[in-house]
Amino acid sequence: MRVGVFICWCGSNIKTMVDVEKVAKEAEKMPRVVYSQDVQYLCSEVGQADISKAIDQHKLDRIVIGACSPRMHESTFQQLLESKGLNPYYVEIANIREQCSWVHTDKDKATVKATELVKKAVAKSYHAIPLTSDLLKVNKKALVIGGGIAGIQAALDIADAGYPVDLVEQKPSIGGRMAQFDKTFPTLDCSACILTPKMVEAATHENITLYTYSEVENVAGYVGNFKVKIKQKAKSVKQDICNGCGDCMAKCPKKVANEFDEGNSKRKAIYTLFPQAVPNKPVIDRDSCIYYQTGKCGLCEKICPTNAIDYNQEDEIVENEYGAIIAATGFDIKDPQDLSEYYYGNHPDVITSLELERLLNASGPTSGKVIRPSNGKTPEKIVFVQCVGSRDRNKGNAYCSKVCCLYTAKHTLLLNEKFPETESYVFNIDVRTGGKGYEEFYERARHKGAKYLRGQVSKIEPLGDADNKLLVRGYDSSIGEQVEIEADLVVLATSIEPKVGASKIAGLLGLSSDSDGFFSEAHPKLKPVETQAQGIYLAGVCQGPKDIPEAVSQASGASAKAIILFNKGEVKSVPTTAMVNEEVCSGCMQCKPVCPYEAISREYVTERVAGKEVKRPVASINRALCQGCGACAGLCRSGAMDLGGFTSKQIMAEVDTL
Amino acid sequence: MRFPTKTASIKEQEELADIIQKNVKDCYQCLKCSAGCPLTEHMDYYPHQVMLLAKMDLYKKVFDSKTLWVCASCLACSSRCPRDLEPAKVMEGLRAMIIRKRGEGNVEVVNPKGVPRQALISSMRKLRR
Repeated sequence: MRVGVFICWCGSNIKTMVDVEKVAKEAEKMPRVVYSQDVQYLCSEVGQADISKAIDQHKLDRIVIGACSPRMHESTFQQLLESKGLNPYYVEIANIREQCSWVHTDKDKATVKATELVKKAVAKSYHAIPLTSDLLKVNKKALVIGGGIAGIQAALDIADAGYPVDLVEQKPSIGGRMAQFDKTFPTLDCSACILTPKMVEAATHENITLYTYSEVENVAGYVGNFKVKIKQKAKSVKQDICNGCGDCMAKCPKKVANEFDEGNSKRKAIYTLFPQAVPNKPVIDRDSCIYYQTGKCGLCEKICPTNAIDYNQEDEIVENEYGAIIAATGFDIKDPQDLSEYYYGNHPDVITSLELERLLNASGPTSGKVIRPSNGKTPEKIVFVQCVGSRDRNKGNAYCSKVCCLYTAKHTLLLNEKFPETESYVFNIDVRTGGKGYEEFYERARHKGAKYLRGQVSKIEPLGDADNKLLVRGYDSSIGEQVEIEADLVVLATSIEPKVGASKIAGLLGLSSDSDGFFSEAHPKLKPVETQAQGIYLAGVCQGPKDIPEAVSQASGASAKAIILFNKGEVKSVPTTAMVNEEVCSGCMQCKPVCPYEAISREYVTERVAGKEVKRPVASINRALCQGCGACAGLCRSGAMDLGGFTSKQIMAEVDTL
Repeated sequence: MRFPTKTASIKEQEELADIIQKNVKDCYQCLKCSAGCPLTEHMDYYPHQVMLLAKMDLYKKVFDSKTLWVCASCLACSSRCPRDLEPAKVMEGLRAMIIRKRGEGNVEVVNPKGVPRQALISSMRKLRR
């Protein structure tokens, strides 16, 4: 066995705190190490060439790298070894960047620790065993969770590439948040005009199957072979018979708050989400319907000309297999009631930006007229408050919601267009306009007269006059004075948050979320659409605040990744799976319940004992399902279970050298 | 200060725009004008505040301030303004407006230590017309 050791400087990342030359020298003295070297950038072409040359010159068959986290570059070195004809699992990495140089301040001690870590890795490399991957077939069908603009775009892209896609949406119609908007910045395109053609395209595409009013119930399996249960909630209207005439909706006696208009209008218990809904056929909201609550009514059934109403419909579970999954679950907005200084919920004229968006929308509760909700008059002085719940560690969300600056600028412009007499005041901390054409848009808003005041609002309270106006108190740091505004309408730019229920989806898919609840990507820069779970991709605001162009580009990126997977047709399995030593295994099956991937099953082996054939139970691993977590290996009482790449022998060798 | 407050009439706003040939609403309050002004310690309103007050149509505050007469028109602000707004020009415009209001041939010495040259020049321009 001939071990080669390579210590990386990582530019100055490692070198400033670890004496890399000394570590390389110390490594030379370690048993079976025949070559040792320090290199400025080991991951670069030059560094790789150095390793390659050393392998040839010194006939190395085990490589130990002292560098950054294996998460970063293990695959880089594995590929190098493979190209040199060695098993990729003959490389061992000691993480001397994150574990030494980045966390210590004493160079001598850090150097000693780095040497120890390298020594440990060298000892482990003696017991390395060659590991191989299996090739797994990929089911060439994709599942998109969430029917907003990101989900629709991802589904359309995959479908256009010729692969079937299922699109699951929990609401009765696709369209998502974008369908609620009136205009989009910075072009002031009508939101519905650019969205509804896409919705119709998704609904009519031969490769797309829509599952509206549905939720993902269960996900099992692995990349290329996901088995997913989708619950189709009972719509109580036979969708194939219903012709969408809308008579039922007109006659239904029960009215409830319309969530699509942010509760500012009423809808019936049998309803479509909005006039351009896709599919444009009603569903019955059983929680509100009089028939389901009391057993009386049944008016819609009597009125329906096609007899499409079916009160006895039941939830249906559909089970499908997919090769790739795209999560596009979207967002909710923060309820500003927690921030009591803004008086939201206590005065009808304090509204959220999404409510204003509905007021501006022609199909909204006021047919596009912007009015003061309290008295129906046109507002003249409007105060916009930015960062409501955003960048607020105390009562809100610590992050910037990214789109509020621009949509507020959009609102001031739209209001100025409709009522040139209105005065808009915008209280802001900073104005962030990162995006193509966004700065010009903000400029336009200022030009048209939006008055930007730098400083946050401290209190909003009713003025108590005949008009019941609001008094907004704040401080403008530029004038250097406290300011008060007598406002007719206050619009709060509320923070955006992950969708309620996103954590459940994360649990089902095995995704990790950041501290704010947004899904984590595999690498923030180089793998922004992939996740740690292979075959599962992200699109839209479920990953973090985004505007429409960004959500659409990410959706196309995610679908491209899925298409790559489908085109390849097969994936390499994880080779660091569990292994059973059948000779030692007692078949106690204690390992079976701890396996989170259900990869362990009981099998029987027959062997000859004392001249007789004996059948004996042993554990068996499904290598396609096993993800190499090691729970079984840690638990096994007889030591029969081992983890490839991390065998008990390897771990013990590491411990022994310390 | 309580909004809505406006001390400049539409006519006055147009007058200022006419003199300076700029749109004060372009200002995004980067504060670079005040950062480079050599005379801020003698001013009650700093150049960026003058810009903001002009932008908010609150001319009265500026007219009543010392700043307009302290400004030496060194043009440091104008040369640095990223919006190419030339705050010195805005100051000059506001000064000119005050002088115009006092009527022809009736220039009063506002600052006992003497009227800045720029104000005199602007009043002379006005008188010569």
